Amino acid sequence: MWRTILRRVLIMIPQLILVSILIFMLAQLMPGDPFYGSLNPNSDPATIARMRHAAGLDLPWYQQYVKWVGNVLHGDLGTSYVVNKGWTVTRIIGQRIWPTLSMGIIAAVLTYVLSISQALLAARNENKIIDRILIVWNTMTSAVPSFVFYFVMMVLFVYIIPIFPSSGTGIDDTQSFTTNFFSNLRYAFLPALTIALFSTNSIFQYLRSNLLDQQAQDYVRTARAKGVQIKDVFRKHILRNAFLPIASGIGYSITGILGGAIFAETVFGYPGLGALFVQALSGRDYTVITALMLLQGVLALLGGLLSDIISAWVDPRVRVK
Amino acid sequence: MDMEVKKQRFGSKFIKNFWRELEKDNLALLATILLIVLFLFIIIGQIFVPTDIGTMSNILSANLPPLTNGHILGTTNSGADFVLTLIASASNSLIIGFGVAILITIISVTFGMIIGYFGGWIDWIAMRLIDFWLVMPLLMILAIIFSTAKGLSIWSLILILAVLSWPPNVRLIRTLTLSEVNRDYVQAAKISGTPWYKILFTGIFPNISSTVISDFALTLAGSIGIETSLTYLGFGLKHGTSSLGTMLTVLSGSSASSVYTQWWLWIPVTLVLIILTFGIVVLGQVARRAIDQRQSVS
Repeated sequence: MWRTILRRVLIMIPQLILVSILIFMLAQLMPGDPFYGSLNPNSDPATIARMRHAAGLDLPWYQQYVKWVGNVLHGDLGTSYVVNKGWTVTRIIGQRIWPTLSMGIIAAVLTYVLSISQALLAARNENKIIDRILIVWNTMTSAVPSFVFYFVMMVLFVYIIPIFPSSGTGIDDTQSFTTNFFSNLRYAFLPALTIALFSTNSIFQYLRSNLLDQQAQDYVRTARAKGVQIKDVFRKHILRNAFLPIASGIGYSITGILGGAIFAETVFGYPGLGALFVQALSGRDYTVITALMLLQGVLALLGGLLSDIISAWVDPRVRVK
Repeated sequence: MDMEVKKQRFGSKFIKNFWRELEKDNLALLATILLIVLFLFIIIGQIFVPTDIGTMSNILSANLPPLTNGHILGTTNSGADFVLTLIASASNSLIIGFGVAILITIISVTFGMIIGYFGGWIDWIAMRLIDFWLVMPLLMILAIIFSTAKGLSIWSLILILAVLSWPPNVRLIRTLTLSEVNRDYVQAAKISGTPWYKILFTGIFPNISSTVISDFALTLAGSIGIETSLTYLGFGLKHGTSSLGTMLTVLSGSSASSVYTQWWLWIPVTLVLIILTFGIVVLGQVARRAIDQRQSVS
């Protein structure tokens, strides 16, 4: 088990280097430089050159890359020039990460609850009307771009039936932690529920076909022939076997938190990291964009790592000898 | 002569199977009818769409409510007729979707079959690259590229989308090819000296074609989804080229309550988007069952 984990962590190192190179390349692709936002037509060219030199922007790209990696490793992600002028990027992200995390965690939990219950319902009623409806529903939610549904949900539950607040996070630095927690819950719940409601498809399809496969296995017939009640067979044998592959997906839901937040936060006006990404991109705040990409890249690799560890943990066949 | 007869028979058999599948599945029938009506609407509507619809600015007749001055759904904020803008946008979105899906299908069938057939180090390197790319945040990367390009034409958008989003499709085709490679017919063809490209395109390809079709439909719907999502955020197409996503952008900036009072600004666009993407996916599944009769629902 530990050898599996160690091996998997070692694989992450070249991946991390690749990710950082990719992000560095994207950052180089963006026109202008970090001083772009702080310039005006009266800026002295000599001053600009001095600033560029001080920041090392006149160095060849590989030296810049090494310098950038060194800064990142020291926790220095640069300064924002547009979104929150003068703030360090770490401070902005530190402030914005909590709303996104709370929404993402609620959304991930709800996604699992909703998709597992849907899959159980569908598999127990194979080819009946409820099964058909659930399949069609999940096909539809996966086919149609999700922001469309977010929109409909917002109109429904913010304007037509106003039970949820319209925009903001409910977090205020002057409030105590518990007050923040509960007021944030009110703001985060609708976006989280909406994300969950429309992203059940992959787990649903996978678990449903797993359950149906397991139902057709010989051990189920044997248990039934012995006289075991179908609901006991279901709970004790079928569920356990069908859940194995699902468990490994939990890691990937970490990966999806930031990516999924982009649209939900934009539509619901919930200022977390996803909304920050759109804001920074529209304002060309490159230091912020680069930092967010790096965060997402690291999250993606960690998600993959966690998934592999979980699947090795629940299923001994996966472990390397 | 002989070949022609055979081809025709395959085509008519496909249509017969397709029709039989539709008769069994009411939802698919409904989706097909809606999709055909929508396609006809978009194609016939093209005749009435003025060429300058994206760039015109007619402030006097901008933002009219429905049923004024002969505009059924009112006008957009640049004064163009809403229905005509919707037709132009839907056709742009469709062109982008089809362009990307066709390119990706060509790439994935060619590379996926070659990788799966030859295996070895080519396969190893390709799979590591694909696995790596699959964990990358595609949407964020696309948003950055689109925003640095400051407005793209439809064709460059298609190219960028296709070049960056083929990996999952290639992986699918590779997996399918791997399961065919060890079958007896492939071994027999190899032993009898059939060249590899002939084995791939006349032997393996027909056997995986049903999945290629449904994958094409999924990619088509997915590409429309990615394109509308990104243009909705305001990244992608240049000014003057509208798509279903840019039509919904109006809402994200304006005061939120207008979303609800000015229903005509978003409900028609949303409906078109839902019918398009959902209909395409359902139709893809039906086509898959029609080709591969083993999967047909009884």
